[in-house]
Amino acid sequence: MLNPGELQIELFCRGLRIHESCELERDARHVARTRAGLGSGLEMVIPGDLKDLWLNVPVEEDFVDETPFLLAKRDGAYRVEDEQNGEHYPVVIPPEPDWYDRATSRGVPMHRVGVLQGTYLGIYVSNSCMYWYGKEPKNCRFCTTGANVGVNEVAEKDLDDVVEVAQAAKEESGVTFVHFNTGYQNGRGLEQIAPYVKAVKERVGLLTGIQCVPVPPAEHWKYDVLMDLGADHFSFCYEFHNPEWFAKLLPGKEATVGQRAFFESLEYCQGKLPKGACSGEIIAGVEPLEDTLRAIDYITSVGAFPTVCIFRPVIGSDMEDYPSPDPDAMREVMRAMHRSCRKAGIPMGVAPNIEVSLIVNPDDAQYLVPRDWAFRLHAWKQRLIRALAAGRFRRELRPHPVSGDLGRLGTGSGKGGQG
Amino acid sequence: MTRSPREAMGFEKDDPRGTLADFLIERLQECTVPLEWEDRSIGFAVRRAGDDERPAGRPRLWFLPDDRGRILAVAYKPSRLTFSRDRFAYGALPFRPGQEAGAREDLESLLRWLHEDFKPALRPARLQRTISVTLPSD
Repeated sequence: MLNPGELQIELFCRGLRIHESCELERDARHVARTRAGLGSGLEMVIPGDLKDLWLNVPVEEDFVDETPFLLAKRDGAYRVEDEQNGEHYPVVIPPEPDWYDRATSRGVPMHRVGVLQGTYLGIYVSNSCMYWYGKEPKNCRFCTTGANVGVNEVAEKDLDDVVEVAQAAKEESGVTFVHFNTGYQNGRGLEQIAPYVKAVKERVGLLTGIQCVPVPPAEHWKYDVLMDLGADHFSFCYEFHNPEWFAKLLPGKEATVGQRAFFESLEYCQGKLPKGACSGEIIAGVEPLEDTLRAIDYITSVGAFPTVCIFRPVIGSDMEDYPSPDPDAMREVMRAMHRSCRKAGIPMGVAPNIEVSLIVNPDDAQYLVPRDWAFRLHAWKQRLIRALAAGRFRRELRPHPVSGDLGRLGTGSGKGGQG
Repeated sequence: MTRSPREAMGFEKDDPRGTLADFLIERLQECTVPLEWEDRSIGFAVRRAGDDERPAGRPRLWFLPDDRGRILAVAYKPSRLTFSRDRFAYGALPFRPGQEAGAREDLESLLRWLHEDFKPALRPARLQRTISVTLPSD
């Protein structure tokens, strides 16, 4: 019998087949690759005694044909059945929010503006990542974003559309966090995102996160402007710690900014924000395991938290023929991630209602370590931190004016996208 | 298909893309690998005949006009889940009116790739990985 954390990793690595008893068209969120780096699957929740685990399970890729796991609906309830040993596990399929199929005032279907990924709202604000253009695209080899924008979502996001979708997601789905992503925009990613951050802060009241390719140290002041505009979180996707793997699989990032720029920006931003506010994002299951473990320790050593995706050979990517990772190795990685965060004192699960379904969150991995006295002491500390931080989060979740000046970034009056 | 492929493209009589569309449709009809045709709200798609019986065999080529005077062949796979609206795009190859000679070679490379299940290593050289239009939802 697997515990919830072990089952989560097994499902990330092996995927899930869908039994004909399932009524996912009625019961589930639609399976969307909107903003797909590594996402392409079915959103699901595994209930647990420590916490419920959100995950986005692979269901589309060819390797899923070989999985022993089957999703079935028995007596009105969903469960994952392990056909190797007959074990079964209750799971919850989160329903599709009503707002997905509504249109914004401009007539754009809301699900083509942003989608829920776990419990947060993900929005890819701009045109495709520039690494995808040119005769020999320099896209990250695992990614399908460039082939996705325009196919599954609208190419550019209007500022008012984004505000309306964020409002709907907050009111109807209890969303507390919106994550903006641009891919590479010739060094103008922060400028593109800034108006959306300001608008969401002032008109909706949500925690905001930013994911852009980093700027060089001479432009680090732009991060300060974004923080003044209300950015609560910055994530830096450097994917692979081993410089050779970084160069080989991320040719665009290697050619334009280099791996060092990710470290410099991560350290700069984390140095200005509360511990655990920034993240270094990596992919496990491709580069050697020891490099992934080194990445985790580096990220926690600078006060950030590791966002560890389990590699998924997404259909349409250059790496779609790669094997899905070994679950035993991934368990080792996630256990190390949890321990590293504890050792470095990185807060886990403190922000309200942010569950990321595309990764194993650091606090998801608590299921992988023994529940000894150190475990209980750590859990008590996290509860205390949560209580102390609650007031600040409540303030952030109310619409409020921000002090940042968009003019400093040359983004004018705050009209983003086509607005 | 309820409409002919030519009708599905929706070109006016004097639209220069009409000749190009006729050329592409004729080449597709001559293809030695049997194809099945599917109507789309704009344009049409082709897939290998008999693919419905193969779990991983779902590649499609969707031919539709773009707003830059071209015809795009968008390579994609529909979701394997019957209820999903997701589409897995691989990119698009643009065809321009008046360049039918080169179009024959491009079309052949696309059809070979379709036959090989869109293997990354066999991607046509002129394929554009990004798609310059927002595709209809169908």
